[in-house]
Amino acid sequence: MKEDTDRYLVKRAQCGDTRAFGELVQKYQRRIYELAYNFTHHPEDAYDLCQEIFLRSYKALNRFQSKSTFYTWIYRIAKNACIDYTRRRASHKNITFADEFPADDFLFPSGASRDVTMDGLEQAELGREIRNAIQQLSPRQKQVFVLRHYEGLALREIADVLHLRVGSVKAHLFSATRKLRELLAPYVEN
Amino acid sequence: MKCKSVENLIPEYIEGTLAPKRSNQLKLHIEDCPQCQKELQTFEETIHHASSVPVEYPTPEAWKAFWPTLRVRISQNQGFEEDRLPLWVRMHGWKIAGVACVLTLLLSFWGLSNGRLFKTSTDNPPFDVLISSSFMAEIPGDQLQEQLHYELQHLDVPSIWDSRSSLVDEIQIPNSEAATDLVDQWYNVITSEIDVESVGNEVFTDAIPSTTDRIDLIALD
Repeated sequence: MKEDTDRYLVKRAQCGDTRAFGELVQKYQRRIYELAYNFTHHPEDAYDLCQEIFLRSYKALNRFQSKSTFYTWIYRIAKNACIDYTRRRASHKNITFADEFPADDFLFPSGASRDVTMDGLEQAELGREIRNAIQQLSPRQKQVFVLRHYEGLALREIADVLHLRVGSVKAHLFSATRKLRELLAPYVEN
Repeated sequence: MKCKSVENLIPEYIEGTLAPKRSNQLKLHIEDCPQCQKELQTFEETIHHASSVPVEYPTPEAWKAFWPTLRVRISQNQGFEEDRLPLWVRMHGWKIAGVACVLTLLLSFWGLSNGRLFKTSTDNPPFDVLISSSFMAEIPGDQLQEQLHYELQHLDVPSIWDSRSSLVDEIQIPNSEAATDLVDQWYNVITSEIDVESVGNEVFTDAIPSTTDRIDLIALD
C-alpha cells in the first residue's frame, strides 16, 4: 500500500506535478536528513545536503522505473551525494561552513540551545568531541566508517559503492578506527 | 604473541575479518592479558560512541521551510515548468491519443463500408434500377409531371393510361420483349413517383387531341 502510494506519487511527479513530489519529500526528508547528518555531523550542512539530494532526485526522476522502491532509489542518490560532499569538503578544508554561509539562527539555533535535547552537558561535550574526531578523518576513512557503522553496509557493499577493493576498504576502516580511538581516548577511557 | 601486535590487530578482530587461526591466537592472548582486554574494550566503546552520535535536527520551522525552499530551487531549475501542458494531458496524453486513433480508424472503416461497419453489401441492386433511380433523382417531380403531360398530349390513344400493357403496345420498338421490360421498369418508376390515376382524371379528360405523333421514351433519358 505504502509502495503503491509512492509509485502513484512518483508517476504524478514524473508528469511534472511538483505537489506530488512535495509529498514524497515530506515523507522521506527526515530519513535522508539523518543520512546526510551522519556524513556531515553538521546540521546546516546536512540540511543543505538534504536539499541537494532531493533536487538531484527530482532532476533524475524520469529515470526512475519503479524496479525498486522509491526510498531505495533515493537512498542510492543520497549516498552518492554524501560521498561527493566529503570529497568537496576535502578540497575546501580551510573553509568552514560558517564562512561560506552565515548560520541562520532562525533555522538552526546556535550554541547551547542546539544541545538541549541531549541528556546532559557531559554527553553534549562527548557528542561534540566525537563529531570533531570524525571530521578529522580523511574523506575516504570517513566514507568507509560512516557506511560501515552508520549505514550498516558490509565491506563488500562498501567496496562496490566506493569502487574500491575490499582490501582497501578494510585498510581505510581500520585506520579510521585506530585514529578515532586515539582522538577519543581521553573521553572513552574515563 | 606480543601486546603491540595484538593492539594493531584489534580493529580487524572486532570486525571479524581475521583468519580463524589468527583470531583464535588473539582471543587466547586477550583472555590472559588485562592490558589487551582493556584495549579491546576501549576500541569497542570508541566504535560504539563514534557510530551513535545523536542527530541534531533542524527546528520545526526549518522543517516547514524545507519543501517551500526546495520548491523554489526546483522552479529555478525548471523555468519551463509553468508553461507545460495541463497535468491531466500529461498524465493521460498517451491514452487520449490512443483512443482518438482507434476512433479515427473505426470511423474510416465505417465510411468505407457505406455506414455498415465491417459489413460488405451482399444485395447489389440491378444496374437498370440504379440508372432509373439516378434518372428520377435528377428530374424533380413537378418537371417529370410536366414532361409526362406534354408527352401524353401527343399520343393518339386516349386510353393509354388504362393499363400498362396499352402503353407497351403504343411504343413501337423492334424488339417487343425488350420494349415490354423497358416500359415495365419505366411504369414502375413513374407510378412510384406520381399518382397516375389522379393525373389521368384531371388532366387527361380533355387534354388529348387526336394526334399521330409517337412518343419516343428514349428521349426522356
